Amino acid sequence: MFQTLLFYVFSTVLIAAALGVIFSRNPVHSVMFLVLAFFNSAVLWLLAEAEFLAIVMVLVYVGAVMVLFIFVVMMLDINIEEVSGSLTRYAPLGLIISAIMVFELMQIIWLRGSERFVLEGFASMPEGYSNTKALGAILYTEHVYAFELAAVLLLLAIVAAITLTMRKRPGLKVQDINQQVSVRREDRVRMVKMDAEERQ
Amino acid sequence: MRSCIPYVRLGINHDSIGGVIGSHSTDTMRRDEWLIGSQFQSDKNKAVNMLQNYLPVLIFLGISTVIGIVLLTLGFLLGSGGKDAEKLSPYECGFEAFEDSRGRFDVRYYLVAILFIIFDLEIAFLFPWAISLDAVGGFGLVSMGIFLAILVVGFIYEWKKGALEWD
Repeated sequence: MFQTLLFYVFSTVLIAAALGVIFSRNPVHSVMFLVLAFFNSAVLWLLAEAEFLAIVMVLVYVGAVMVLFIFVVMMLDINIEEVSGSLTRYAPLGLIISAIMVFELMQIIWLRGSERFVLEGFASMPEGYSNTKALGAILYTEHVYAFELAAVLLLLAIVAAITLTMRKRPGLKVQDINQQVSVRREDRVRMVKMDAEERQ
Repeated sequence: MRSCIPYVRLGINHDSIGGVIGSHSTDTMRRDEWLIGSQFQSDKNKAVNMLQNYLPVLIFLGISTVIGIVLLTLGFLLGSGGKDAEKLSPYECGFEAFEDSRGRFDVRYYLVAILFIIFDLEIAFLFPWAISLDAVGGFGLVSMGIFLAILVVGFIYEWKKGALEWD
């Protein structure tokens, strides 16, 4: 009962935050609303007793991906005036995409696994049940192919990020600390023999 | 009954903590009952709910929300108001603001952030593996070894390419 109440509270905030993402004029405010939305969906994961997914949601999405989003928003340097007209321009596309997603979710819930998704509220797991353990036990054995593919995907992301954003700027003054430390006296000091000069 | 779903039963009896991979018929039935939540509804009081561990977090969240709302409301109600252009203007430690706060910054920050995310995800994959190491056994060890080896290739690449250097 209490969990159901919590579910409704957090889903309401989630939907409100999602609407805030779309309707707020300032792109930075949109990103902040998205952070709130991710937090609330993490709470929903937690209510479904998917502890690990909830923590990863906060760790990866809120902690890292949103930082990237803010970087991108700041890097694009969008003016608030330019964005203001774009809601009506992109509304048809957004509606089409959301209609497709609603259709897919309905298919999953009602058409395919009808008996598996019949839940009387949230199922409570027995004592000592660990979602993280259950996940780990099949992720690295049963789904090992997908797991290794994830590694390849991350490798691709490393290479792509470096090739897209790395650039060598010519004429840059760089300190080579190794060279600085390993310098010897002979490299810097030169003894010059010369005759004594007259007093002036 | 749906033998395609592998399932691990952990920590119910102390002798089965290591986890049983596979689908014993009784186990699969148990799991479905958990999913549907019919049998364990009755002895809900006996089972310690995982969510009870998070009750302090919820209380903390509630208290901090209340404090935030109360402080803002008090400031709004009791403040003398009187906003003028000078008061609302942005300031920078006493200087005149000399730049817009929405200025561009270097793409290298982006590179550092994305490299951080990638290795953050790698660590996220390590956690369930470390917990269920006794269940996944040698096969899991090898599969994690391959996973890490692939990412080490990327790590060497970025090191040699100089992406980790801040010049």
